[in-house]
Amino acid sequence: MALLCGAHRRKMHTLLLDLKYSIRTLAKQPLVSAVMIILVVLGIGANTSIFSFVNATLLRPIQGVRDPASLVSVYTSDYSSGLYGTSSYPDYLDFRDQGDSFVGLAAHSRQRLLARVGDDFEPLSGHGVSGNFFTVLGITPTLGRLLTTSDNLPGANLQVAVISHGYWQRRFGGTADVVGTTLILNNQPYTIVGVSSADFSGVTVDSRPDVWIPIANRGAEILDRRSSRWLRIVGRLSPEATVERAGVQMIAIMARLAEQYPGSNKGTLQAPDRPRPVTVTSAARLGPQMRDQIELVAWLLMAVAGMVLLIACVNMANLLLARASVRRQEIAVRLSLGATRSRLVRQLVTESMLIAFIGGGVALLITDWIGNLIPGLLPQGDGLNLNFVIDQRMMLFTLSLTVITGLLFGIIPSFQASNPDLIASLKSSVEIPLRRFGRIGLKNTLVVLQIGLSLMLLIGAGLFLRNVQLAAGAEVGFNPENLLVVSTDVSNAVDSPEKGIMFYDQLPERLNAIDGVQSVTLSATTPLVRWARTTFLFEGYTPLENEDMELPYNVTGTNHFSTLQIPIIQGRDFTQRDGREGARVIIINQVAAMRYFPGQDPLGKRVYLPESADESIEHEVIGVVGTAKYWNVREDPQPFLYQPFAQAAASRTSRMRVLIRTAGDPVDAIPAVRTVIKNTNRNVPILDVTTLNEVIGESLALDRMIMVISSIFGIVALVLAMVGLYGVMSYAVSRRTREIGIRMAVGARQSDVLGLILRNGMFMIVIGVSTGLVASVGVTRFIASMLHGVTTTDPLTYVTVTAVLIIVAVVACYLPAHRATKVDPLRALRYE
Amino acid sequence: MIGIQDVEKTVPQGRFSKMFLLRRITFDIKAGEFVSIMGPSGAGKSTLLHILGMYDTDWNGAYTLDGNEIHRMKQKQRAEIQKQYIGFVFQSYHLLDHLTVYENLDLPLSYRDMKKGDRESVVGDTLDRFQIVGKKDLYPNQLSGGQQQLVAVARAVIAHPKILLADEPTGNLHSDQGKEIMELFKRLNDEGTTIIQVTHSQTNAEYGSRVINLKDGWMDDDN
Repeated sequence: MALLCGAHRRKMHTLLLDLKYSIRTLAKQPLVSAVMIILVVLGIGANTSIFSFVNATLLRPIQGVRDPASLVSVYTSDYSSGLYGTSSYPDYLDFRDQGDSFVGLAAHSRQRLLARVGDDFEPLSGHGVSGNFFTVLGITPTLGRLLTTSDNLPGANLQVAVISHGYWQRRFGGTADVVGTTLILNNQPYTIVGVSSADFSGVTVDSRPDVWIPIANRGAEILDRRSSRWLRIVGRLSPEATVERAGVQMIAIMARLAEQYPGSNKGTLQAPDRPRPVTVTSAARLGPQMRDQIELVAWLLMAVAGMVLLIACVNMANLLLARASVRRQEIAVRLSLGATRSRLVRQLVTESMLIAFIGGGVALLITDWIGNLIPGLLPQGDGLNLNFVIDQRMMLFTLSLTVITGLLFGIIPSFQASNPDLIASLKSSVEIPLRRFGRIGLKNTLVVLQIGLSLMLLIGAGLFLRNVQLAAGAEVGFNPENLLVVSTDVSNAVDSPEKGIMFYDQLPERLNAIDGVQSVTLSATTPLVRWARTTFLFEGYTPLENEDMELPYNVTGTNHFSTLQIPIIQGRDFTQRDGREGARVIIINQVAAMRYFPGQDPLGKRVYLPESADESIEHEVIGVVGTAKYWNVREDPQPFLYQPFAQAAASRTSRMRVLIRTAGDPVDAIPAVRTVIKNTNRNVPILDVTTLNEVIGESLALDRMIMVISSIFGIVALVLAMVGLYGVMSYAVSRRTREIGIRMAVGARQSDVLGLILRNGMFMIVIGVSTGLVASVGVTRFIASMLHGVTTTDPLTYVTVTAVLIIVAVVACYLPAHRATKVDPLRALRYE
Repeated sequence: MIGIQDVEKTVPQGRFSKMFLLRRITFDIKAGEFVSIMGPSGAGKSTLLHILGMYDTDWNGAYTLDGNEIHRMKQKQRAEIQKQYIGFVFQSYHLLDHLTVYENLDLPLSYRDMKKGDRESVVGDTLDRFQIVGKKDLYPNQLSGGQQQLVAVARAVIAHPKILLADEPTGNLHSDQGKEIMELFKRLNDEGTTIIQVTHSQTNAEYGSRVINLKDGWMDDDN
């Protein structure tokens, strides 16, 4: 044991000695060391930055809750759009009461709340929660108390609220007497009963709650309706239960419910006669559907960052090889003094590891900074709940990456350097190249590899650039230029639906009077964001088996099509005649006309909308309009319907978007628009103001993020490869100075010398570009599913990117070659 | 102690022929001898010294050292024998310029896995013995050529090798410094170290007891 300790101590001492000498070696060549550290920072920083995104979105469990591993989510399938839908309140109660796999099952739902602050409104991210929500999650209050089951019981005071730690700090400055304070939410007074813990920021990635209120506030109408699915369910497994067992149990419960309530709980588009599927998964901040999408992006970006690291490592290896040539005499002396090769490799690897660790440390620091920039690139939605923090997982990833990086760039040069031509090295003080690797040498091979890899990255970035370019310029079926979108909500500002309708009746006319406003209309939803869907039936059309008749539709005011500049193909627009008392009318798009009324004149045909479970209302088709893009700019043409504002259900008309077309920049009209709305009804809050171009931009945010990051990485890779090429060429020139001197002394012209050096560089460029092109054709197949309208072999991208790379590469070669032509033969021949 | 039998060294010349650097070299060296290898440039002196020092392993013939058959050994065994027997002094000192005098002396001991405490004591003794205690924290570029070579010799003998090989040890020194180094060699030889030096200098050769002359790779004479 003592012997072992002695050996261990000796090893530790040797390691410290190696470390001391490594620090001295780095300090001796500060410029080269700084360049190497920068290369490592770029390589590792690229990876840690992307990993911080992966960590924040995919890996970090729900924060601030007790034992997140035992939390699960329960999803009820939507009718036609996937397994992972929300659930109804009655179903939630049955799941909760009939299942014994859970210690507790809680429900929560996002709820847009408007807090009155003085004369103004502040939109808050609110969540209605079941009484056991905080208990199930295991959260403790910072102040006061959290909501409990008694807060949701009949007869309880429902107007109580728990605020988040963040909102407490932001709005109340963290004062201790906030408990008991009244908060006006949606024009109703709520008493703040407590502040949640600081580390809890909600359970989903798409919303960071400010306020939690009892779910019972939503009212019996929606709470009792089994067909209204609006709740997310989170539960905690009992110690003996598993996710699979809980899933089986939920399916069994749903089967019973389907028997009891076939109208609401039986049937999906794919399986009309089976109970609605229920799925139980481990709880994660990202829902399964979004998770799949983000995972694909994350893997892609990790692969790109990995390639940047590889290029940086190759560059580092080349620098170390060049340095090893310079140090070969030192290595030979060490060998002659009794050092074993393994000992030398250890010493040299210690040097690379030191560089890697310094670079890794700096990379971790900048990741903290970059992490805060990434959310700006992501689709914002209703507020992102992402925490880009340096946690243990980040530290472990960076540490592992640092060690791998140090080994990756250090090991080959170390083996090369530790095996010099001993006698030649001891005899001569002139730099002797390391043993050659194949025909073109290891250093040149590494440069070729860098050129190939950077070309691949640039082609990838170019394809994503084209992808976004095509999507941004895609025809959307309406004119998004100079269009302002103002979201308003009258639900808590007026005391009757009629007053709300009156407000929206008056508003377009008043807004039209603003200087520069050309046209105004109302829309229940913002184009390219989300649409309501409901089941439509068409006169004379028999749906095919399993055909999805749940179609997207919009509720619009008059002048909708002229404001958006959607062409009316047949019939007419909605007018004042199409009021509540008038005949029910509807406008359909061209795709709907062709699909449901093929070969017929659609005008005058009947379309049926369900008013309740048993009753459908007949509508007459009065117009056919051009097909636009409704969900996103890349969708295939799909059927779409429009219902007039005056004839829509009250629940669909309390919150409307006002679309305003202006002659000039729509942003200039914002102050006047705000004033008009305030003057029309000072209690109506403006929830959001944006332009339609910004909305389109937001819909492409994920693509844009991939484009921006891959472009940055592509440029970094190009710079790294060119630094590598320049370095190798400069090294070759300095090594051949004497030869160049002799050549010039015997009559070589400058152009001969230039050609001599450039030939070597061009050889590497040609091989690198050729391999890069072939590899790109193979590798870009993996991103085919993320590209729309652009092929993975898009000739424009390949030609442009290759040309750019070749030009930059030739410049990188030309500079050292030009320097070679300036060699003074007399000085060169004295050079040793 | 050293037995060299029919040692030959060739290097390829063109694709099919080879050039001899050493031809049928045969001699014995007893423990405690001070041998000088002399001859014109290109005679094969340094090549022979590198074979004796086991830095060159690509040759034919037989080489025994203290009963060990070097020519039959694998690289690892040879390295062990080398560590145990050989110290080497170079013409251009080859001190590591980013290490201090102390650290340069410590280096061979650290490669022999000696404990730190023992190393400190050996380096301390050597600094004392070579009277360079005052220089221990200096870097090689802060020393004169003679001082550098003194440190190089100290480094070569610090691990107590039985044989000290020196390749033109005074070649880069002026005559006074050269004389000091040669006297140091003489002293080491008197203390029992076998010394084999390559030299062009008759004066330096006179410090030794025997001269082996080489010419065009052949042994010219041995006296």
